[in-house]
Amino acid sequence: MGSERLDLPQGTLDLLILKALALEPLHGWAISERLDQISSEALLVKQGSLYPALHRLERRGWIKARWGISDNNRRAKYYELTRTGRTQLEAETSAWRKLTAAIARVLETA
Amino acid sequence: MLDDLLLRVRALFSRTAVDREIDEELRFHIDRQIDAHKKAGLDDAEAVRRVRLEFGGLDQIKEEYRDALGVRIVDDLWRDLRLAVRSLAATPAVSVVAALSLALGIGANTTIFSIVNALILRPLPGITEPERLVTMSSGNNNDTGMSNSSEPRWSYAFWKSRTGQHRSRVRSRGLPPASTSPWAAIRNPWTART
Repeated sequence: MGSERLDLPQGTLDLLILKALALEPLHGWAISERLDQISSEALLVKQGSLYPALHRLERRGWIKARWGISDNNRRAKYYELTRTGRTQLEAETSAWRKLTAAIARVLETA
Repeated sequence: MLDDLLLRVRALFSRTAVDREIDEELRFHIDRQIDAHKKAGLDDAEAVRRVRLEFGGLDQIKEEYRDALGVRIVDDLWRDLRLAVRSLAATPAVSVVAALSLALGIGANTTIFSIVNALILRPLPGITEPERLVTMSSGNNNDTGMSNSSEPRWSYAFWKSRTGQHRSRVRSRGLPPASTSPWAAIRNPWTART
């Protein structure tokens, strides 16, 4: 944990959330857990900032929220990807790939 | 689009319910995280402290959450409105004086404007060709040698008879007909007269 963690560039949190939800509906805590696991705890996601982001996505219609019962028998708000959310995820993933590839090329040649 | 609208409407009108849900959702996360830390071997106090650090300020998060709901403007407006009403009610004398001076000011303005509007801004009734109106003033005019000494002659009737005459005279001198240039008909004759 003590090692350096990277701050997320602006706007990438939305993409990560969409990706985390691509497999199955999750509640907020599980999303932050998954992001930690997948990134091997390299990314610093302030857990609180997850929730405003979730709500933004919900308003855009990319995810849908629904109350359910969690594995420890408590009411929890689950988020799932909508169809437009899935399209959005694909679009943003390819945009991200293009962007990082372009930046990498610039950095390597310069 | 419709989803967005529904969410916003809900956030506005069932405020307490939405607030409760936000609370519950955040509480759930915090509890889970505390549990996770305890399972990892931290004692209670340390787990809570750690979560507080990781999570960020709870009130700030809630604020941001409500921001993301997109009802912040309406919320703030409503709060401001209530504050305004409360402070007005707290000092009734000042409020009444303020309201009265506003009423007086608005009343006076309205009255003056109505007068100006009727007399100046709107075309006078019965005038179909306002562009043909001219302003005339009496004074010394060396070209014609006329002066305003003989007061009674400078009447409307006098001017009318003059312009009538001159219009025909202008025409006879080959200037454009009066209808194309009302100025020519009325003004030129004075120089053409001698």
